[in-house]
Parts: sequence; C-alpha cells; structure tokens
Amino acid sequence: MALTETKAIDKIELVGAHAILQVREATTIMRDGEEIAKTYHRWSFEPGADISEMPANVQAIAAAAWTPEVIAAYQAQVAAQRMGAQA
Amino acid sequence: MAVVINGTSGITGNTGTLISASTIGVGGTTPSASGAGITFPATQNPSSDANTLDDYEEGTWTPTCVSTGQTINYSTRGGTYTRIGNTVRAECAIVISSVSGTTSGTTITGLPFANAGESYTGLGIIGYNDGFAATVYSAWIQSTTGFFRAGTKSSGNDSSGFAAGYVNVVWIYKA
Repeated sequence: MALTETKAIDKIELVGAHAILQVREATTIMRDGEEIAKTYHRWSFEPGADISEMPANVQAIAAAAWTPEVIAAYQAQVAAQRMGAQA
Repeated sequence: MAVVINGTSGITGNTGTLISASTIGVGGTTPSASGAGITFPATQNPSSDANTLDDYEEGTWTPTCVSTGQTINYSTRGGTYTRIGNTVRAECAIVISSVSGTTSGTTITGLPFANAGESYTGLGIIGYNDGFAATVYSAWIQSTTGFFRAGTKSSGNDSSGFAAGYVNVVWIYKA
C-alpha cells in the first residue's frame, strides 16, 4: 500500500470588476493511485497586493490584470470604505 | 460500484427513490472515496435555477491583520471556511504576540472568496477577543478584506488598530 501526497495550485481566478485574485491549492492523498482524500487552502489578493510568495504563473496573471488603472480604481474604493462614505 | 446517471435517459423505476450507501457525484464528478455524501465538482458548474444547490467546498485560509503603520507579530493564525452555494462562512483564529507602531485602519485580509454582495455587506461576528485596541461594534467586508469600526468612532474604519491578544471572528457573506 503506497500513500502519496501532492500539492498543486488547481484554481486561479480573477473575480469582479476590480480583478480580485483568488488562488486555491489542493492537497491530494492517493493510495495505490486512488484518491482517498483532498483538502483545499485558499488565498485571495486585492489589486496591488504583495504576491511575491505565490508561484510564477500566479504572479504573471496578476501582473497582466493589475494595471495601474485597476489598482488605482480599487484603492479609491477602499479609501471610500475607510473614510466611511456610507456612514 | 458506481451508478452513472445519463442526463438524457436517466434512471427509471417504480419507487421514485435513489439510495446510495456511500457517496454520489454530481456534474460528472468522481464520488469521494470516503464517507457518505454528495461530491460536487472541484470547479463549480453554476445553475441558473433558484432551487438548485450547485456548489460546496471546505478548506482553510490564512488571515492577516493589517493596520497601516503597525508591525504585527503572531503566535498562531489560521482560518477555515465552508462555502454552500453562494454563501460563505469563514472563521479565523489569530493570536497576536506583539504589536508596535502607530496605526491607521484595522482590517483582516485574505478572506477565501471575494464578497459579491452589496457594498458594506458581509457580517463579521466577533468571538472571544482582546486583540483589538478598542471595542469593536461593527464589521463588514469589502472585496476580500474585513473592516472594523470600534471605540468611539462614529464613521468609517476604525483607526485604533490591534493589540497583543486573541482575535476570533466568524464571517458570513455572499460569494
């Protein structure tokens, strides 16, 4: 009986008008070639966030999507939240 | 033995019920090899029908306390989440060992899914805590960041930041 564990980024998504980056890592346990368990870990990043610890393909997607205009638009919205525009 | 239900011909019978002793996969998904239940696709195949459950996922995430100007060190931090359809329940348990510096803003980043609800929605429920520098009385989500209002602040995001201690929050929101 051979047990193996593999980890892989299995989902990279850009969500919403502000291109929020969602990344999912799947950890899969295989027994004799058959999957017997799987767990997920997720990260999410807002435009301009530090993603230096993410794999190169994730960084490349972020670099393409997070233009200066996208980052500025997102930061403007966050600033409005911090100031309490709805307060 | 797996029973594969074809989408066009289906299964016909005179009882109208389907019984499985273990797991059932939907959307062409291989059923889980453990336990008993329904296995959804790893990538959602969204249904436009209002009465159809089309997504389920459990996992972990990494919460980060962000307060501009503060340096925050952790003893431990972690989070779990469950997504059922378009509803997310995410919880985080953080132990802050030390904090230094002055602050502007009190937020937790890294929620597992972006908030798809209206602005200022999403619900943050504060559990045991002594890791906020002031008493929190309001919490909401913007994108993947949880914001807090605390102390005597009457508008906007709290600016008192974090302190050494526990920060336990449950988030409920639409994804």
